Amino acid sequence: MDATSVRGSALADLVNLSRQLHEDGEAADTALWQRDRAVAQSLTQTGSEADQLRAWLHAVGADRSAGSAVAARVALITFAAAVIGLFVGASLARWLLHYDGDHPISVVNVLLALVVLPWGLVVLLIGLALTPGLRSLGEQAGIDAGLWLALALRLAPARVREPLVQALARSRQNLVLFGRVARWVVLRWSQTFALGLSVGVFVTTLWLGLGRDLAFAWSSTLDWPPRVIFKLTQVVSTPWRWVWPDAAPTLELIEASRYWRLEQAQGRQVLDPATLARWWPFVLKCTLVWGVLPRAVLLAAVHGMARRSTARAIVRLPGAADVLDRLSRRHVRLQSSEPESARRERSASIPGPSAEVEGSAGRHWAVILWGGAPVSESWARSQLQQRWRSEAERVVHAGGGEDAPAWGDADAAMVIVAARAPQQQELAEHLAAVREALGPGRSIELAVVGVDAARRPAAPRPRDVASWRTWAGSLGDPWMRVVALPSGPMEGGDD
Amino acid sequence: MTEATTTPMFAVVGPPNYGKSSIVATLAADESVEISDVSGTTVRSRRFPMVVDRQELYALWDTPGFQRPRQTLAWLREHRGADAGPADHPRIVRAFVEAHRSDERFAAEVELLTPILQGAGILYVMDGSAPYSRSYEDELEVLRWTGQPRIALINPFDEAPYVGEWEAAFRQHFANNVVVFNPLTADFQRRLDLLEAFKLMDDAWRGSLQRAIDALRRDRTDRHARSARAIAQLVADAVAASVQQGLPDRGDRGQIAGQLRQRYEAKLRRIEQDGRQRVEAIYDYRRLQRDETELTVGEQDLFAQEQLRWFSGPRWRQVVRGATLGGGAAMGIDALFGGLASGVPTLIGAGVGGVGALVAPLVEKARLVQLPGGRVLRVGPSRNIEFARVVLNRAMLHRHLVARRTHATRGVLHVPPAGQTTPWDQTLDDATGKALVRTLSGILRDRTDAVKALAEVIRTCDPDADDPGIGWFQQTGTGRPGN
Repeated sequence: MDATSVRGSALADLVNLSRQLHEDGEAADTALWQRDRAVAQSLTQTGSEADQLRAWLHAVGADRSAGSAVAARVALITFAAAVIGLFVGASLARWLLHYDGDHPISVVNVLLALVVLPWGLVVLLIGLALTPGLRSLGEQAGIDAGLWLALALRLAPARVREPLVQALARSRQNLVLFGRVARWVVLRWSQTFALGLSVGVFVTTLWLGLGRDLAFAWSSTLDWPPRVIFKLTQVVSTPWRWVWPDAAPTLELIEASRYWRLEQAQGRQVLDPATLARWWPFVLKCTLVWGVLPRAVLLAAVHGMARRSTARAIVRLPGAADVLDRLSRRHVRLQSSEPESARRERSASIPGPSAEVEGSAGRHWAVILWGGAPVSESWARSQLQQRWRSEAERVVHAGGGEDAPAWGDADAAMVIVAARAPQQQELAEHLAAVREALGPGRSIELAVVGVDAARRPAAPRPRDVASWRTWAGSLGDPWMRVVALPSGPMEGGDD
Repeated sequence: MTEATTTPMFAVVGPPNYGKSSIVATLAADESVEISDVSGTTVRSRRFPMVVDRQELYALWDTPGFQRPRQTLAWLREHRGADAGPADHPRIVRAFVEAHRSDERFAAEVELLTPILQGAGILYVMDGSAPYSRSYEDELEVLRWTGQPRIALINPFDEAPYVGEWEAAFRQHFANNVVVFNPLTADFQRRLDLLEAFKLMDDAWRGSLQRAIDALRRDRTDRHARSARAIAQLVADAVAASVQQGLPDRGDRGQIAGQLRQRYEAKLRRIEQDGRQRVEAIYDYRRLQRDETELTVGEQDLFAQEQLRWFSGPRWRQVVRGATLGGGAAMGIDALFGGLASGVPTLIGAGVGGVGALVAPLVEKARLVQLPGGRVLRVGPSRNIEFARVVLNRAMLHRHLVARRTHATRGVLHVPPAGQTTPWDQTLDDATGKALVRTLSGILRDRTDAVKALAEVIRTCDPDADDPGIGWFQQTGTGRPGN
């Protein structure tokens, strides 16, 4: 789908986009990326950012009811403004060009009403738009974006107003953006009305001139020489005089059509209707060139500004930049899509034997150095002596491929492990073998020893000891305790 | 024979509780990886594919630790046969896995060997705080029998006095493929460096890994840009926040003002919380707990003065303006309908503020708004640039801590309170500082392009949010920086 091929109302898309972005704000990031990357594959990355967003909106199948409803109402009001303008213009022209044969139509009044006044309003409007001070004045008088937005929301159908308000309320930026668009929409309505009015005037003037005899004259209390009037008409007719020279009044016509009511009433002035009718082409061209055309240009300009404002609002809506990002950037994902497997339940760490242990002092101890524990046999013996005032019956090495040790008369065991030694099933099996050899009720001490930088035995880190206690607790041996080495003499209990 | 694969795979193996899962969590930016001091947390292998728009460029496997390496090696040797040579070793390992697939005793070995037999390279993890011991050689021998390329990762943990010892020992088994890698402190570049090292394991993997590295680099830049946008939007939303409350004819205006302030602060906190979560989600954190002082404007004068002391320098004194910027009415959406119920335009009372930067409250005092049918007292939106800067600096600090954090780090993210770190905007040069002031002023004036402009300032001034070399995040007090 080509992003530039999206048709339809941009205003509708703006409304729908704000709602869709509001919904996306609740969605998971990953889901948005997956959706939008799929959309990106189907879109041709051409066109402006606004075009891309509109194409995206259509591609994701967003709910379009709200935007359609708002756009329909706006179109209806625009149509109504044009029709009303036509009607008002036609009525105005009928009134101004009323000719019953008694008194000619005043050219001055017609031109003032149908040319000078509208042009004055156009200039005023442009001045307000371009002069910052005047614009600010207008805003401070309350004619600001919020007012236009409120007016526009009033026009939205009731069923879409609430969700629309929720979407807009998400951010103040939404209010400001929509308010500025609404301002141009309202201005476009006014210019549509004005153009309709101008067209109504032109068409009625044309119709009256074609179907009836009209007589124009001019009169003034001021002593204006005809030459001055001629020059004025020359200026006014400049845009078309070089194409239609007959549509500009001549000096003779101007001289012949000066009108004095008193003289005419006294029968002292006779005006030639055929001569007076020669004003009509000029009047008609005035309504076209100074009435219809400027309004058409202004309407086109306002329409363009409204489109630009709408496109700008589309791009600046909160969340729109993220959509553009997802359309243009590749999605990188590192995480696993598989859930983490259930953890093995662990028994609570054991601070000491939970079952009654036969007295350990004076027992026949076997000392097992597991998995290359970084201690010497003599050190192990000294630790046992300090701890239980006992001599080791035997010191054996295990965990390095040795056969299972023979226990002899040992009735207690101290298994020395390095604090950072891996806690593996092979050790668990070995401890189980030791338990089987000793029998129940006999003490097994799992002695955790740390190592310093010089590879000398040192007190282990408390968290390593805690880890060993948790691991040993899972073995379910109630007569096993975890101790930290080196330690001092035992007086009972654990250190 | 192990299966050939063109998409690189890497099995992270080693003894239990030596940081394999931490390394995977950091490399995969995945906070769902269970990490614990308890051995045997990982019981099943878990795959972490690196995917760019549905194209997989490589995959990591988190595996359980060896539980019976001696017995495993014994079985392999026993079944080697008299005539078997090194070329037969992978076949024998495969036979071991097939023979013990239903044997719970060797469940861990089966889990960790399976991806290797599918073609995964071996990332052998060792604890640098444990001294070298021959007891590890059984595992190394088993892995060598698979015939797969391998690299050793030494995890230094806290103090790691044996890193050098392990490096020397590993060179015998891994040639020069030995890397020291701390999953808790490895910054983004360090992670890329590790992927560069993976390229050396197999020539067939170079292309895919290089594409992955390039994609990760671009993606990181994109995430910084996205977080810059999120922060800019947060500032705009905080500045635009307002609350109002009806004012009865008889009532304690002071009490209502106090209630309004509490509601306003609560709203600001919600806005800030949403912004924090958005930034965290950008960096793939969805469960992060954070410890941060709350944004408050309760003690307005005190807060304003303290913040100004932190932020003010000669430059800022020149640019700080009064509270009111620009004209225009500040109409909340709820006021629109109320105000137009009878078609009368809403009249806004004159805002109070702008007496001077040093004494201006961060938020305009509550304004009295005349509506048809009654009056309301309204607080916000803010028109004070200092407030915008406070919000911005808090957000920048949070982002910096999040971006630097690794996904192996667990625990609460501690965000130091203001005063213990150098505010971000104080590190900017003059030109950038002025640009920042312009964009913040634009946000205060409801310029709709200001959010984008602020995001651009953030993006260009702090392009690499997680670069430890960037000096702006300086601890000035006694507090600890984030984890």
